[in-house]
Amino acid sequence: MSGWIGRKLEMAALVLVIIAVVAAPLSGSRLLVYYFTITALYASVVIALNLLLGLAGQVSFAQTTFMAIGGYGTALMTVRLGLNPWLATLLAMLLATLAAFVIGRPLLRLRGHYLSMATFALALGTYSFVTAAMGLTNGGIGISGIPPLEIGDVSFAEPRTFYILSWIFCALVLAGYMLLAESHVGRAWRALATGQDIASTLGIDVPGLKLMAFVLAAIVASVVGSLYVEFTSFVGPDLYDINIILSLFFMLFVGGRGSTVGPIIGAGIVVIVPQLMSGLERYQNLIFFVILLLLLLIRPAGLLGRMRESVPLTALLPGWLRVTREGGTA
Amino acid sequence: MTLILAIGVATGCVYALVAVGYSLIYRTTGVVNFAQGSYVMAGGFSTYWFYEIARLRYPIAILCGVGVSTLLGLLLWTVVVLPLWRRRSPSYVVLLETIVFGAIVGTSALLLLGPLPQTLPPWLPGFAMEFGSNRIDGQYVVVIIATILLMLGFSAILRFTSLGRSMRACAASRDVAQLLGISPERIGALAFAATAALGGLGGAMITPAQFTSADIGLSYGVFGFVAAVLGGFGSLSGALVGGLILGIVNAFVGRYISSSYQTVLAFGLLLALLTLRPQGLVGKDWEEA
Amino acid sequence: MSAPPELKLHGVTKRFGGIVAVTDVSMALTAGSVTGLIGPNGAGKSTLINLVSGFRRPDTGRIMFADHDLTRLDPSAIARLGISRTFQQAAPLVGLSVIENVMVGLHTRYRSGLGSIVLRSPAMRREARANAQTAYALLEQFGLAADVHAEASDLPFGKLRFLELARAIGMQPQVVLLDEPAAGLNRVETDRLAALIRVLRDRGITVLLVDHDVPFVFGLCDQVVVMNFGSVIAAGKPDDVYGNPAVREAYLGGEDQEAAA
Repeated sequence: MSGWIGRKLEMAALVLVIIAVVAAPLSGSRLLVYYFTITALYASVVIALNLLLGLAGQVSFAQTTFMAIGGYGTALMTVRLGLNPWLATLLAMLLATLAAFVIGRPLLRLRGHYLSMATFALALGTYSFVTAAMGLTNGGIGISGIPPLEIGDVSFAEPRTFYILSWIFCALVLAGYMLLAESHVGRAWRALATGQDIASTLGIDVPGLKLMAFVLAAIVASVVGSLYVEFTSFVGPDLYDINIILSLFFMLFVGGRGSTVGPIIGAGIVVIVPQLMSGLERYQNLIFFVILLLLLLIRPAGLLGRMRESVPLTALLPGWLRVTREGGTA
Repeated sequence: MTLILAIGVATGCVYALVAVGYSLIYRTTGVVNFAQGSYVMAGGFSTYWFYEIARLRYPIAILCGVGVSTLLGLLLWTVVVLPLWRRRSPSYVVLLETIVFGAIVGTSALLLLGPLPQTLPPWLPGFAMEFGSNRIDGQYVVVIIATILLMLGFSAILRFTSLGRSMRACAASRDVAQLLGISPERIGALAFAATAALGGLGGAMITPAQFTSADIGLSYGVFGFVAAVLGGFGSLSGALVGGLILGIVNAFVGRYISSSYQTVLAFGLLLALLTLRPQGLVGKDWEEA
Repeated sequence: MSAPPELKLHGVTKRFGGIVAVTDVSMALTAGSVTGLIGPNGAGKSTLINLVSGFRRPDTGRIMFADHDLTRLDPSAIARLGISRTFQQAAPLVGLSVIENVMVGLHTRYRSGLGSIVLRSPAMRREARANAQTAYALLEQFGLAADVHAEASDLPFGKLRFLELARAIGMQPQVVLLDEPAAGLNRVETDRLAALIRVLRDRGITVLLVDHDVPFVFGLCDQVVVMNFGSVIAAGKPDDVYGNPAVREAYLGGEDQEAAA
């Protein structure tokens, strides 16, 4: 049953998230509010990635490309062209949509690892480009002074108001995900993820649906990219480097592919836990990578994932070290 | 001009060694191993450690350096790829894991040996070649010749030995190979070890001519991958062709535009290749390579 | 009232490398009829199904359905023209439940777009409810009412076949191509399958079925086409084909193989 409501674990997780989100600003801790805001933004990107990967089965590393379009697009349009930040966000989103359509059509014809490799190339290429194009993007220095969003005299530069904005956005993205997942479109995505040929014999426009998922994910990523730089008033290449590319996947996998609330939990863990490890900054990256490596090996389903895979540690040992006999190939 | 060409061909040879790694592993195990570039870094950087810090004699240090990269290859296979492979995990999970492994190797190198680039003495001190008014560092020539020999040797092993035949059988079909009594797991281990050794050797060879540092892994991994796709993913001769072309192009881009654009160009080329002509330039069947 | 749509093949040929799988095959299927396609293994029957459903493109010849030329179309376009198929190995959509499998078959009936889904418009909700009821009804008709929420890939083989058929019918096709639907079914299940196919025929659907179960095919079909080595060696009413010496000869070899298997 695709309905998530039946799964107690997901319900519990959602309740936990709601409580945390409501409690954080009341706690008075500015740091908590800050990190929760970042969590909301990344969670939105990962929910969109979950739609593309978890539902439609398209492995795309390219979310950061669209985040960069949103981030750098907004920065350039506000700082260099003096546009209103809302307008800049909208225009960047349109640009991202166009880019997704243009790149998506040929890209999504690829299957299996070719798609992963091509989107990985796209993501890393984006990072290289924004680092190299000094004239356009200021390279490694980045662009600062991005104006905050405002409605009337309510400025979203104020942490509390941006907090609310980002969580409302995240809630909307989550609602969109859930509604689409339960609909016939969601079923069609799941069908093409598991049996593309069968789906096409049932009249499903497979390339069209793949593109739809890709573009939707790109739109969300772009808006998050814009919001993020409006929040911190700064954009730089490091926002889109290999660490972030891998982090997005980490968030998705920790939370659990195909789960609904998983991306939010995953984002929360990845954003907040490193902050608790002060003194270990030097080793932060290494620890993060090692945990990701082990996670994929031992519990690929993540915390909330519905896959039946949970592998005992002994399965990791090579055959000649194992005491019990393994029954053939898995 | 000749200098740029020499640099291009020499680095192209290292790309070719990495590309051969990608293709060999892909054909025998179906895995795309993005940690390939980290072997180059590991080979060069640990040779530096064995030579400068542990004060071993140079040839021994090189051997140990290559040994380290080979061990890393075996480690990757045994601990990471094999369990996933047995479980028939989706290919992108394996890909992701190899990327993470490469990142771990790079970060560890950074923590252990520091961020500064290091270099090594040339293999044939004082050796240099003259082309008119240009003096080319002999190490480049060493790299080129060594690579040619390695590729020839490798090709011979694949074609003429029973081991090579086993590898080609695995490349054709994992299940059929098993029926023939070949252990795909042992072949996989061998492929990972061999490609790691090749990469490590490439790293040790190029370091005297250029520098080595903890972060070159990703860039060699990328360039080697582009070279492999350029030549035709899975093809050995394609790996050499792709590597040389990319090496030369990169050298010119680096000299006349800027080194940071080298990666942009490489990625752009990769994206174009994968979407427009995934079978690459040579795209021959692996068995014929 | 226009003439009922016919599925026609003209001079279809398909080569795979050096092997000619299908040679100059022509046939006509009238609406509301059941045509059986039989022949020894390797005769080209499955290839023909693949050609009609768009998984392979013929080298020569044309495939027409009503006024549409199917020859160059991809599977999805052919499906949307009203031609559905099943697969030789029962192919459930793994990871989806039984009812979800059938509902995917109903996909082409949905009119709601992204907007209506996200805004939960009344039209979208009505559509979803109606289609869910249709799916239940289909499952009942095919004997799967008890397994509604089961994981599709957990079903026993016989039920998988019926699920696949239910899914293919959900598309409201005018033509159904069945690739060995009776393979692996016991006598009871085969009879039930034959009854269901007769219901389809009575509704005016054109059925082309490939199978090895001779009593099943001859008892059910209005027309039987026999293939061997890629060409049609006989076609006509079951009784006529049964007595055809060329057919007997082709099958004598075939029967030996099947007896030995």
